Amino acid sequence: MPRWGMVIDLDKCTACQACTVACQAENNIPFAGPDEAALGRSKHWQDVMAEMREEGRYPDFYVQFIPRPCMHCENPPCVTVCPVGATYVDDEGIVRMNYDRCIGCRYCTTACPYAIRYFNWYAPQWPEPYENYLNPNVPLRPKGVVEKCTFCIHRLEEAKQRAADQGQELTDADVVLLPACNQACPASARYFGDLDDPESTVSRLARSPRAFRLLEDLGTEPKVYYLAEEKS
Amino acid sequence: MDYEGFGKHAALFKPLERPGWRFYLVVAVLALIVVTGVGAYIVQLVCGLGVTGLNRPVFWGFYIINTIFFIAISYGGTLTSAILRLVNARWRLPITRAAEVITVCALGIGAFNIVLDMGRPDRVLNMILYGRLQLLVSAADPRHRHPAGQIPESQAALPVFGPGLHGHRSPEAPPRAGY
Repeated sequence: MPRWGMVIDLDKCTACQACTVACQAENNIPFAGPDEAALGRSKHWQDVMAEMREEGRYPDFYVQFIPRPCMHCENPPCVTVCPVGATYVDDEGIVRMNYDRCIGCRYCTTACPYAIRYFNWYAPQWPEPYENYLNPNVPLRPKGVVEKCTFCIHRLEEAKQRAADQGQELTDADVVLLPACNQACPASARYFGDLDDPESTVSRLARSPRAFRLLEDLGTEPKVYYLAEEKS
Repeated sequence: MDYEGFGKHAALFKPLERPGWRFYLVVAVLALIVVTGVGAYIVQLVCGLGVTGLNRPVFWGFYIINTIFFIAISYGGTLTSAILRLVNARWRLPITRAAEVITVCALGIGAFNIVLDMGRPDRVLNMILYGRLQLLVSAADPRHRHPAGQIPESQAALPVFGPGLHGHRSPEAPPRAGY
C-alpha cells in the first residue's frame, strides 16, 4: 500500500502561483469575489504563502515564498477532533473528507495548524461562462461543509485504473507530476509519489539534508516535505 | 378566583391571574427580540453562515462564546444550589429554586447555540449516528504521548469502546466519500 507524499523544492519555486490557479480550475473551487476575499474567505486548496524577512531594505529585501497544499499529516489534528468522523485518513495516507457527513461545525478548521481547511460560507457560485468549465470528476461542495486539498485523488484513481487496464504496476514516473499543481509547475519544483518506496523520487528527496517540514515540532508528521533554499 | 383560601399568601398568587399592563409590555418587547432572532436565523439558514461575518481564521465567534457563557452560567447555578444544600442553610429554598431553574434553562440554551453555529443543522443527527467520543479518547490516545512513534494496532483503540472507534483510519467510512 503506497503512502503518498509530496516534495516542494523552494530553491526552484518562482512563486508564480501557477499551482494555485491549476488547483482552482481542477477542483472546482469557486471564486470568492473581492468583498468576500477582503473578509478572508477566498478558498485556495493550494496557496502560496509569503514570509517577509525583516532583514534588509528595499532592493536587498528577502521574501520566502512557500507553496502550501494540505500537509496530509500522519497524525492529523483535524481527524482527531471531528465529532462525526467526516474527515479520515484513507489506506494510502491521504486525509479525505466526506462532504455528505460533515455537519459544518468548523472544529477541524480551527484545529488545523496550517489552516488549510476551508469552509463554504455560501453556496458556490460561478460567473456565467465558467459554469461550463467545471471538472466533472470532482464533486461540488454545498454550502455549510468543509473542504480541503485531496492530492488530486481523482487523478490518482484514474492513473491506477489506466495502469490496471494495461496490466502494469503504477510506476513512480506515472505519478510524479500527477496532481494538477505539479503538472502546472513551470519550474518543476514539485514532486509527488510514494514515500514508502525507498527508490521513489519523493523519498529520495525527502532524505536530502535540505528537507524540512512545516511546524514539525507539533508532532503532526506532515507528508509534504520542503527542500530549503540555498542562501546565495 | 378567590384568593382568601391562601391566607397570607394571597398577594403572591394575584399577579398570576390578573397581570397588569407592565407585564404585557415586557412580553411584547421580549417577543419582538425573539421574532428578530428567529428571522435572523432563517436568513442564515437560507443564505449560509457567511451572513454572520465569521471568516478565516475566525471560524468560531459569538455562537461558541454564547455556548461557553451559558454553560458556565449553568455551572454557577449548580454550584450555588449545591453549596446551599451542603451547608444545610435553612433560608436556601428560594435561592436554590432560582439557581436550579437557571441551571436547566441555561444548559439547554448553551447546547442549542452549537446547533445555531453548525453549517448543516439538518445533519445534527449525525452527532448521534456517527458520534465519536474524542474528548475521552484523546486523553487516552497513546499518540498524544508519543507523537513521533508508530502506535501498535493493539494500543490504537480503547477496549472499552471497541476497536477503531477513535482510529484515524476508519474502515467503515463509505467509499463514495467525495474526494
